[in-house]
Amino acid sequence: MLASIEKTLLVFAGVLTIALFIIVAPILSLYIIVPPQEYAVFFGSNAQIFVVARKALMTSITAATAATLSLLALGIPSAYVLARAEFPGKRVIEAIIDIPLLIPHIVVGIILLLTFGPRGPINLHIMDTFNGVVLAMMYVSLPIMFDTLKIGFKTIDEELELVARSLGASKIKAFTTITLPLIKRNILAGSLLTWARAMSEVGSILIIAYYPKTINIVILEAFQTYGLKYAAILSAVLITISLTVFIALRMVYRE
Amino acid sequence: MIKIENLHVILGGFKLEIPRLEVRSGEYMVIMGPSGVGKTVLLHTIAGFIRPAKGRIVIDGRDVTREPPEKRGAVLVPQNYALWPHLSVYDNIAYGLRLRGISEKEIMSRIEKISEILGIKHLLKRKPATLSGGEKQRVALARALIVNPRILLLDEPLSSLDPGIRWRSMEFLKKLHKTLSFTTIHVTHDIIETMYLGEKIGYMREGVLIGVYEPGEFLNTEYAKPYIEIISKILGKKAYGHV
Repeated sequence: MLASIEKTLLVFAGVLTIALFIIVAPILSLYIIVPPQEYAVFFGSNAQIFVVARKALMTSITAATAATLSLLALGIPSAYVLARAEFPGKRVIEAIIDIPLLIPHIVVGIILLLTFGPRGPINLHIMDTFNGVVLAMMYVSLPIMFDTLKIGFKTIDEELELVARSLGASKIKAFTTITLPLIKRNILAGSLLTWARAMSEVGSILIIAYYPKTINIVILEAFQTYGLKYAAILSAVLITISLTVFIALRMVYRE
Repeated sequence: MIKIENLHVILGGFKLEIPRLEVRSGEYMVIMGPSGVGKTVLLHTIAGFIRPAKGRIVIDGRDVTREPPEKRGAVLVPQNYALWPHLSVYDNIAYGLRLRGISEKEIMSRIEKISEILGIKHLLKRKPATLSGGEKQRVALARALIVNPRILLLDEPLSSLDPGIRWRSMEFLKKLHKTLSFTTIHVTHDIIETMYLGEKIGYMREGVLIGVYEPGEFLNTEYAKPYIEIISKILGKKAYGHV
């Protein structure tokens, strides 16, 4: 009996190995193909493509960070209401929040442009602007942030807040001193996933805001104009930055 | 002193009715009733988390029925103690005092005093997750008592403890009350707790507070009868003359 269970586990572990290989192999081969000295080229070269790429990388990072912070500000109160309150229509609202996960990203770009673009009913000046990039990033990563925060709030026993209230804390004081610190991990995890999702967005940005160029757009251009070699260098830099942020936050998260 | 008059609470299909309840200053009131009878709802209404449909709650002469929880001075100790896991024992206890803007020096001396009384001095630097059930209970009591609550609301304070510790904890609560004479409403389903601790005993059934009794008087009611019969059977004789 035990032996058969272990055999099953062994097979499952084999499957896991295949999955890991699919994830890791492309990243490893990128690092093998792009030799370390190429990174110096990326950061030091005055060639037009690298100048543009460095600027685009900064645009991506600042836009993804802005999108993450904005979603945090929107997400904390919204997720709290959804986690704590029961009201009619709540299931519908929760379903609506997950809609961005279902829409192809090119289509996201199109509907955002139709609504908030220059000819839309509400002109938010998103066409080829930094704000456009941020809005596109926010739209596609909103469900990740909201759901991660909501799960966090749901795990916090409401009595922890009630005791604080009975000891003399106002609702907002109890929220900021007890509830928020207790979901620190979810805030961090939600921000990390949101940031990563925002950094990798390209489909909707292509439609809304080709300019100011983000790093993904430049990689796409490099691939189309110069071929795989330049695209690979840019990709390696991007992956390195994303992995560094990911690992650093994971380490903080563990503490 | 707390006075409750004609209190009605409606929560979905559940109805709580407290025709009249008075707890004098320094009195230890135990309200007994089976699980699901609405004891926690009663405490949450007194604390201000649930708004009553009608009736009045008066604490120390002030009508607090419409006041928010933080202005009532009714401090809750929930069944699971609800210590804040991200704060040390010291910071848990200090929380209420810091809200009141008391200086850190004063806080330290007050915590020293209360942790001496509660025997938790050695725990102050620890995180709640590392405490035993009995230790958690004492910390929760310290956190509540240090702000000198007008009324302390104890929600099944002994039911999450192991049986062995429970008896000792019960004795401890009694001694603590003798030392600090805080005003308390303690709710429980346990007759032994009720009889041992209650200076006054309220009995609840199906959402209604049936009556408030002196301990001796309560033993003679029909509500105490089933329990006393069992105890008598365990003891193998008629332990109480009136059964």
